[in-house]
Amino acid sequence: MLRIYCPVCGLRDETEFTYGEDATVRRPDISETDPKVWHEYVFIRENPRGRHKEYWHHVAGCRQWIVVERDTLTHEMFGSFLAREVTV
Amino acid sequence: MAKKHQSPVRGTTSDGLPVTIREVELGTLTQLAGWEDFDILADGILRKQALSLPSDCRSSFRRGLTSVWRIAPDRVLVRSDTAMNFEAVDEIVTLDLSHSRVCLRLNGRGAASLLSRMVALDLSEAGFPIGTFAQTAIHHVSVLIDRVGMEEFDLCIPTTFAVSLTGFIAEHLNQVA
Ligand SMILES: [Zn+2]
Repeated sequence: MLRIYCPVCGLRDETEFTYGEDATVRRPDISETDPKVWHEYVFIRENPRGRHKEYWHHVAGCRQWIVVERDTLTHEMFGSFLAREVTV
Repeated sequence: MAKKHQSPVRGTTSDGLPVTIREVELGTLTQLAGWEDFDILADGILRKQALSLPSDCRSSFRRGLTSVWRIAPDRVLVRSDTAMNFEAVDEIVTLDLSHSRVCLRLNGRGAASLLSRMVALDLSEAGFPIGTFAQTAIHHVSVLIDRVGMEEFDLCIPTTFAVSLTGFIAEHLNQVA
């Protein structure tokens, strides 16, 4: 069982959260015309081993989106922040 | 089809502690939500009702029969016995949620023990002190749990799940007539 720290609610079971997505992906500039860039933005994801930033939604708690830094190999959590307060 | 339980439900937990589950009057439930200046604006509105904005999202503010829960950084719920006339302010959205929640009161020496069978929270006195609340899920339904006493919890549950959730909670008790 993963336990995720919510900056608003405290340490909670992962069952209270929904996984969002990779928190490091950035939307290309809206004027970008190269379809390859958009294809990569929409479909292509890394599957990293080790430290990674992810969006999680505390859906059964405070309903805030948070950014969690987690080791995908060991599940160690390094920190969580309200998504709106973060520029990843 | 969920079995309909007649309120109050009385019973004991498997460790032999008594609990009563009773639906109580929720009263009026109002949500105030906002954006950047939420702290200042919401606190101003609440203070006109002799209430105030809790600084954290865990402590229940109480005055008489009124409770204020800060359920997110920019959202509060106000439960009161009578309707409150909150001042209309730009940048703050007021929403009447009175019909959307039902209040279940768990009372008795086994109340914390019963809840601990259904939610993954520390329900000890130190982990969940009187006067604090938590939003979590029971049987995948979002609930707000307010510890009003050592042996008493108020649960705000969605009205649409009131029957099935009351049944789910009651099933965890050895019921007595
Ligand atoms: Zn939370």
